[in-house]
Amino acid sequence: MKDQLLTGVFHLLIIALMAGLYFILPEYHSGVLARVMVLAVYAMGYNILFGYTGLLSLGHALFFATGMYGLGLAMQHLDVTPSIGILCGLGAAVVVSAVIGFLALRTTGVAFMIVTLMFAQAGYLIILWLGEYTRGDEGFVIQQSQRVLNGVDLSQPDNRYFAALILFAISLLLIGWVVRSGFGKTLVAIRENEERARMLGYNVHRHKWLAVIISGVLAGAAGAAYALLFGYVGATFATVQYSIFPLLYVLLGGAGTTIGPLIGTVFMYYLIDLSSQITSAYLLIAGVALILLTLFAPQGLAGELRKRVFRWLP
Amino acid sequence: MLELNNIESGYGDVQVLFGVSLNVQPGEILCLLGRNGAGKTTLLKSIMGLLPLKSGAIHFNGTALHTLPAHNIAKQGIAYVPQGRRLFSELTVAQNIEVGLMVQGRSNQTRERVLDLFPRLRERLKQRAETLSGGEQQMLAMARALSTEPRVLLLDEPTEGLQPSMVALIDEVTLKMRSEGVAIVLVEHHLDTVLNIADRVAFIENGRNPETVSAYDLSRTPEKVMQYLGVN
Repeated sequence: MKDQLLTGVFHLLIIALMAGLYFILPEYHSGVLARVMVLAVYAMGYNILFGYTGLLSLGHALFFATGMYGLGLAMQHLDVTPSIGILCGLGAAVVVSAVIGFLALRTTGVAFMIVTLMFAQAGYLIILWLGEYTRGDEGFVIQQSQRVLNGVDLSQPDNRYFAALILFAISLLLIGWVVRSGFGKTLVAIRENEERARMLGYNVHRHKWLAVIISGVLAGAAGAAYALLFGYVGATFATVQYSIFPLLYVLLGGAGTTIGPLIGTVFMYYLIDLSSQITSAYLLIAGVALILLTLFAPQGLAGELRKRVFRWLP
Repeated sequence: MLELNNIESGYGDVQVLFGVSLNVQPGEILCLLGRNGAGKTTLLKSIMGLLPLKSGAIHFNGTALHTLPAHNIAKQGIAYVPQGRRLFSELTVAQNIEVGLMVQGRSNQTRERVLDLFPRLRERLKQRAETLSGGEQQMLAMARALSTEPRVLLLDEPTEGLQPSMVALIDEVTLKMRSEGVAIVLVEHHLDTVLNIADRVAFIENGRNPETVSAYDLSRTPEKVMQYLGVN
């Protein structure tokens, strides 16, 4: 009970901190943070599957892109409002993650990684193939005039920041609740020992499937938000690179911690941002930093913090 | 209660069990005794649905277990404590027990009862399972199984590698479960334990069950132990 209270207060403090940062940081950095919060939601979704359930997917870009194109295509071709667009993005993410989860969970381990990677590649190729609607690699822009949600112009930096914060806050509180629920504990039990969980009487397959759906929907929500807030929908977001990003964010920040995805995303974003200002070989610097972190903080930043200092960290 | 009828099972093409028939009743401890590799663990895994039957049937109070998926077999009220404990190592003691309680929706009353059986675990509730000693891990594995309030308990060498006081505690809990009407199938190599707590002993040899005798009869015919285990 005490831990539960601590978790709730901790999450609210993180949200308050993110809100406060807007008023302190220069415009460039608050712009970066808006993007980071959306990507952190993507990583949080990934974390449900990887960090809590122990399933390593290499195809999450498909879910991100599904949300993004679900919203983008509906707004572009059906001329729907942003709120209907968001529902289209989320709906598409539910359907796609349910189907992909059903099929991919027939495999485990490395095979699961390969199957999810292949589905994501198929999704990417479908986007290119339907170039007439999706504009292929080039993508398309959602006009500023369309990006007005209930009278709020999301192309304005302050609105954009707080819209990203609302999505981030809802996701964080939702995940905080899920991982402390019986369902969340069962996911961890499955991660720790799948056969044992089954022997206790848990329908492991169903739990994993639900985890894929929750994970996919959060990724889709992030994709839809990204399109709406930054006004661009493109096939780049469906590439394998965007499947690797959330894995890196989660690994660096701390798999199986609620705050790890945010920390990992901030860290990775600024690492690349700052190193690219120093040299064109910025990936070299990023690579060295990643190796050092893997060596000295194998459980990620939040994971190490939990291990060493804050045992209650959710 | 639990009835195995002529079951044949194994790992892929390798058949291990050849027509084994056994039964265990409420409030009874049936001990499986046999050499390593005879098929005792395979028998328990087959009951739990971890290995598909090639032929034969397993019934529990009239329900055909062999037709159910593994997680539904456990839900019928059958708990399995495997060899080597297999805990949720990153979860705490309290969380391991909670995962056991949740599956059948058991209350705090069950939790207290289980913790009363293993008071040492009560002192370790916040400790991660992987940091427990071997004996405590075995207690936790049993506690987690008991928190589902099973009607059948399958124990695979629960006292393996434990100090005598811990063995005595595990035996004591096993007997308590029997007195509460739980049917227990126990794989055990300690002959003393077998003779002390088992009601009947089923010998397993090369995947077959040549003979099932009462523990009392076994104590009077030690040559059987020589015959099936190769020791006096």
